[in-house]
Amino acid sequence: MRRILCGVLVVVPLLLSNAKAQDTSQPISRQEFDELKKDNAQMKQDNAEMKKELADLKKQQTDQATNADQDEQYTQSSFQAVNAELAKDKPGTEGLVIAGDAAFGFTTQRKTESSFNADVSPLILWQPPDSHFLIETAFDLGIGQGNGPESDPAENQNSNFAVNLADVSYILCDNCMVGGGLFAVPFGQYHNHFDPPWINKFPDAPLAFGDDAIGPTSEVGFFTKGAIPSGTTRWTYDAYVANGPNLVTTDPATAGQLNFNDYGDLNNNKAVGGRIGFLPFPQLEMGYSIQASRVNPDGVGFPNTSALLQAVDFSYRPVIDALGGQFDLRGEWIWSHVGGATYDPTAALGFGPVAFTNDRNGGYVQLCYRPTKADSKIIQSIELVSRYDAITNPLGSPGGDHEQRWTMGVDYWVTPYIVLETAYEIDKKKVGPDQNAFLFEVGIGL
Amino acid sequence: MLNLKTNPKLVVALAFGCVLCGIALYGCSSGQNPSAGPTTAPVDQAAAPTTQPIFALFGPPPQKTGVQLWAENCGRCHNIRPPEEFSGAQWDVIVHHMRLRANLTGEEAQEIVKFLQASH
Repeated sequence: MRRILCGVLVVVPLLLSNAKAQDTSQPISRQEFDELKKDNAQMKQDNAEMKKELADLKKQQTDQATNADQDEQYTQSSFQAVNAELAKDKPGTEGLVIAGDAAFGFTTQRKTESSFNADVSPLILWQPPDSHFLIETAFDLGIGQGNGPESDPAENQNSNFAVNLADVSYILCDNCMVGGGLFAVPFGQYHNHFDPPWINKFPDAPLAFGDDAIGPTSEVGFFTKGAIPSGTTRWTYDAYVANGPNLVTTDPATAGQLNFNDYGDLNNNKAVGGRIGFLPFPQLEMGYSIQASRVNPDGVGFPNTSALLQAVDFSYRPVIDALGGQFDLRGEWIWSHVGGATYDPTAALGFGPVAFTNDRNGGYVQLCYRPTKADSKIIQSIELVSRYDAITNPLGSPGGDHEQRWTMGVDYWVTPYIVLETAYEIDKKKVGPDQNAFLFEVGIGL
Repeated sequence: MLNLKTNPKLVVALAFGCVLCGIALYGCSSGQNPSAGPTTAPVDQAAAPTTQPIFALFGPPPQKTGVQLWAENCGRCHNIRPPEEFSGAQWDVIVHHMRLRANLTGEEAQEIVKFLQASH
């Protein structure tokens, strides 16, 4: 009983206090309760809609970002494709290349007037879409380098124009190419490899390969060439059939010489020739060349005369660390034999009758050194060059002489393909006056 | 009787005819596509032999990379020119021209072009 009384005393004040608190707020009507419930439902719906909209917005933003990336990639790829198409149609970047070489210089020589000279030799290469083919054209524009066939003495212009290359070649297989047209004759290496002024390293050509050459430069005909690797060595081959040189029979100054610059033919007989090269290792190449043809003009009563030309060549270009640089050793020698004949037999031309053993020979050996291992870039760019060259024409022939030259010089390489060349030549002739010379040339590979 | 002085053309023609027949048998029957790239896989630098004999007349030629072939073949006659001087398309034409001048094989030319085009 006592416990019950205590419980009543505790519970009654609590109930009274609760009733007093409820009295402080307004009672909620049923209508208000429904409105509140409705508002609450509306708010829940709005909240759900806002969440949905927010999710949609986020999704939209993500999609937009993805689309932007895709658009950018598409634009870039389209741009690259258009650029590639444009590059294909741009001259000089696809299938067509203009290269070549140029040179200008100065020569002062005993017994002749000193002279400036200039020479530009553009080389146009065209590779059609079928890359088996290559079309080459090269020509030479020269000033102050002797009287060319196009020079006009009346205007006192010592200029010349010559087409050196105009051929089409076709890749037959990995080891064989064939072609035809006016091509560089692979007789020795000089005209095929070394005659551009920035490769030659001297301001002039060796005697046997210059203006009075005793070997062919370019010929019109067909050719085949290629290479066969064998072990660490390599064989190269060239073979051709061409119009061949023409024997000079009527010129009092040059009768008996072979004219290699006339690309036409004086007879129905064609020249055949070729070269075999051997490279025991990559820095050394050795070769043997031969060409045979009948060279007399038909239909003028001149006896049948054959010409046999042979040549040997080598080039060796090692870098020798112990000697601090690169050496360049080259050499070529040509022998020619033209059958016996009597020139101007009736003396009608005023210089005959002349008969002689028509054997000629000539060539060169050159040694160059460039200290490529030196610390100084200026020293690295200097190259010391030396050459011995000679030519022997029969003394009993028109224009016959034995000439030899010793040439020393210094080259300076501005870039790998622009070179300043200086040289001094000591000349020794058996018949004519010795013509020592100082030469300067700027050679440029284009 | 074949005599070089009395009948030089016949001797020369026969000699080169024999050489060309040999080449035709060796090269053109080897099944290589004349225009396609090299028939061998690209050289694996790590797998490539590190030492080659200086002189071996027979046997397969050593596999060489484009940069090796570029340095050896171009540098034999002249200073080698930097790859960036010409575009990739131009190098394709120039190496074709140099293949004629320097008697390169198709495989060697392809390797050199690939190196020059990749060096841009």
